Amino acid sequence: MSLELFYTSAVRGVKPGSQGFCTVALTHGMSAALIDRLEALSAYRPVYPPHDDNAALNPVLRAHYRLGVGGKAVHVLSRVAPCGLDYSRRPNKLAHHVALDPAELSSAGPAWLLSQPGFLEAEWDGEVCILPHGPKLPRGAAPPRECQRWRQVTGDAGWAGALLEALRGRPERPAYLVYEPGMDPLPLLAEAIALLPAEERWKITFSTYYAGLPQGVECACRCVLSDSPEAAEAARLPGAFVLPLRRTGERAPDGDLARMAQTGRGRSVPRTARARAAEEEAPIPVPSPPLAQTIPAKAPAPDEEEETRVNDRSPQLGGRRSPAPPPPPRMPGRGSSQWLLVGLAAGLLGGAGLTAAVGGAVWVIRERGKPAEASAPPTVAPGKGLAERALEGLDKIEDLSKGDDQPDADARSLKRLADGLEQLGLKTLGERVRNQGRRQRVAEKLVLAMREFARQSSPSGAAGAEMKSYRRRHEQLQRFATTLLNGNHALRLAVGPAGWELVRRRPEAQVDLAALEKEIDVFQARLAQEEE
Amino acid sequence: MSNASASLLSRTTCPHCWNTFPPEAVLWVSAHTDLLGDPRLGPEKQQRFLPTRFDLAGYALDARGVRCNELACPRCHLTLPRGLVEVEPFFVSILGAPACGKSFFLAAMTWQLRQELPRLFQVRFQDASPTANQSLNEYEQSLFLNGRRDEVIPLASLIRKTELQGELYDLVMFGSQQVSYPRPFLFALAPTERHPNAAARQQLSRMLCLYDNAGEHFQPGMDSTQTQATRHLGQSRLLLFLFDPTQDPRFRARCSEEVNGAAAPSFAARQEMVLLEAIARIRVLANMPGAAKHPHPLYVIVTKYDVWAKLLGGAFLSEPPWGESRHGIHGLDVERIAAASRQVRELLLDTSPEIVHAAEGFASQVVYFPVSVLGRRPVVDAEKGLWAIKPRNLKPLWCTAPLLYGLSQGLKGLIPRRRDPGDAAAPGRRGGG
Repeated sequence: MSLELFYTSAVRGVKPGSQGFCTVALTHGMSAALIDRLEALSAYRPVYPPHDDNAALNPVLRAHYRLGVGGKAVHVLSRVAPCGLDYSRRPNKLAHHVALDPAELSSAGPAWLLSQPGFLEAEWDGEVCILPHGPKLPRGAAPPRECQRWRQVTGDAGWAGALLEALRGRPERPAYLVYEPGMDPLPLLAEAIALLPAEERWKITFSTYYAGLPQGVECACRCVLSDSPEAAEAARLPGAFVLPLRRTGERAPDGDLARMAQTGRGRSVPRTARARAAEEEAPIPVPSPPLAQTIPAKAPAPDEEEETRVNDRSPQLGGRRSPAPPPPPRMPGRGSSQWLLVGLAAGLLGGAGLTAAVGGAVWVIRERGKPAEASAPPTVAPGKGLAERALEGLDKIEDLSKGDDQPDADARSLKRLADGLEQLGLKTLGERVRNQGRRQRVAEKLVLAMREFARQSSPSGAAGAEMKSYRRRHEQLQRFATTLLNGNHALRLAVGPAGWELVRRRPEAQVDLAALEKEIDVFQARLAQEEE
Repeated sequence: MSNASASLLSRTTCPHCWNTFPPEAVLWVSAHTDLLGDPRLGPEKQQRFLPTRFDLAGYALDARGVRCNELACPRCHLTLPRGLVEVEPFFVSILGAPACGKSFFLAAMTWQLRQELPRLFQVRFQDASPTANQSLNEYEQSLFLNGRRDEVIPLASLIRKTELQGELYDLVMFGSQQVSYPRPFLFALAPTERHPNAAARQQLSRMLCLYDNAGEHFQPGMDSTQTQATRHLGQSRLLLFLFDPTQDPRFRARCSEEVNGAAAPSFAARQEMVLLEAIARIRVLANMPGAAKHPHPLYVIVTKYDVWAKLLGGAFLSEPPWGESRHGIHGLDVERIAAASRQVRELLLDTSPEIVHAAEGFASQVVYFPVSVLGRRPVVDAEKGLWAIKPRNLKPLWCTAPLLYGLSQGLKGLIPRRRDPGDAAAPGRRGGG
């Protein structure tokens, strides 16, 4: 049995004590859940105030929605529009909703039914009442015909078919028709829906003036006003079907329904299997994306900046490792390529984040520009001396992660960082860090310093076990530095404001710090073992 | 403690769902357009997530590696301004019957606060989230920056009636349960460098959270699990109850003919029922015993002073209730506020005593304010028979006084008084006497 509800602003409503916007008339027996849902569908956003010269151009919202109430699917036909002033002499609106059981659906379709004069009321008679029965439903037929209105408006009747193809092909994605105030999209929708077989017509949900809806209300075809927030949102949605209802000179894509719209001939074709399957799986789309990020990083769009792309492959802060990185680009010169591989692998595998990756990328760029023979001159011999100096440097860096809670901690930490770098034999970089006035760059400088250290001390003549040992040490050193950067202190130095504090408070960051301490112990034990 | 750690709160409150949570639990809003669909907000909203990757500036990276800028509540997933994890929120509830002038008052108040707070009180007052404040900014524009400011425009065309659905609300799904929350208007309050207490900036800064409820929300039975539009009452540090005397026949009987003319409202409303319903909700939300007094102040704001000014002696509100103070900035004139409160209270006791009794039976501090958003009597549009005004003639009177007084009471040191707090003139002790 059809049910109806009137909602407007009145001095008194059906519910005792209600005043202002409220339900003023409804069919006897309507459930409270359905009343709530229909009232929630009564929103209206006027474009022009009632006393504006253009007030007559305010769109009339006529819609067909599908929603679930009490486990049952309900088709709702609605009309919402301004209607003068209310009892408080303020602009009013009237919403009239009719809820239909599936058994009552007219074969002519929802748009045809909404087009029938008097089916949905434009005025309320002022009587607050419980109606004994629902409205009488008009009967009629809407055979498919050439879509002349579409031709008049868009220049090609085939767009009616294109719209239907879009709705059929991807029912989970809404289609948008963008129009100017003063136009009524309902006749266009009625023409288009008439192209479909009768059993499919009620599957098309729509609103002639879409301005947002409660969740769980299906509305596939959304007519939006140009320059409205909804039109802007439609333009932002990837892959959305967005059609301006005006002549653009563009022809509609070819298809059975487009040809039918253009000629009025042909027969309604069944839906694609894909659309049917999608609909059966999810009659009303419900999103279920993961809360935490578990989606593996995908190659970003080509226009994304380099920094983002590199970082996308970096491991997560919580010590989790990302999949193995793709091979680095080919580089000129054998020695350079070797150390590039070491640097990148360390940066990408070793608990690194943006800093390491950016550092790697910067180094890659720099190294690519150099002739092969100029890269990696051996300036520091590997061996015990190196290990000692590395440990000393680590101690200095480790100090950075401890108790810098004084107001001038940043300045002191910078000094210690510079000391550590100089002890590693990196005087120039140490000096640069010492003179570093912009804290934002410190973290990157540290990573660059570690890479520079690796480059300067690379044993170009070494091979075999010595080389392997050095690489391992270097990788561990690199991992430590980058983990330290991401996990705790240096990034805080680099960031300063509450932004990083927000990160630091995350439990993962604490876990990461503990893992880091363990890693340092292992590293030091191994070095000690090797030195013995 | 480092400077950075001191700037984050240990816990904050979501202005949408009023859930309290530690800042580190805050979610981020993904930025890549592939990541559409959130279980709470629907398939067309960006996914919210607890990040594990960040860039150098401390911004989260989403699953596609794109830097994210927006934060979201871990419970309702609605967006939060960044400042909310750094400064405490200060909730203010504005309640009243339908058509009592809540939206007009709110727009006039915030517009004037933008002008007066920085200039007179050396307090910064800025939109914490221009997107969230969009509706309120439109109200302000319609009233004070109207393109047709020299035309006589019906009041009904300046700000439309607040709806119970639509853009002023956010709908959130908790499983199969849908909940409607009012969209808050958020402003950052902080002393400027020239404020005498600028050194205590961290302690005195607040995130002001305001709501524009429809009057219908305060009617009995309108609060439900699905519609939690007035749950901010439980968090409120300051309750502003708007009483419209033109909706009270007893009050109207004492007013001028204009109030009872063709343009005047012909309906009457039991406004004390709105207040009593709000009181009942606050007692439940704040878990207050029946006999206990509410610890935060309740201000009764009698609107539309422009049409009943004669009852208080006419030009009573010609001057704002503040002036130069010894602190080098303006201070509130509590004596004038107290005098006004006493007069309005006497008037209400005479015409609508149930309002006074309901208010003073509930809150430990009640102050009465006369206000006028228009600042002058509206004209009757001859053609339409409606109250109308030229927007250029709008000169709100005392619209900021209640909030300024509330801030001076609840946030000592931000808004000074012209006299010492110990003076006997302080209004509102025991029912505004």
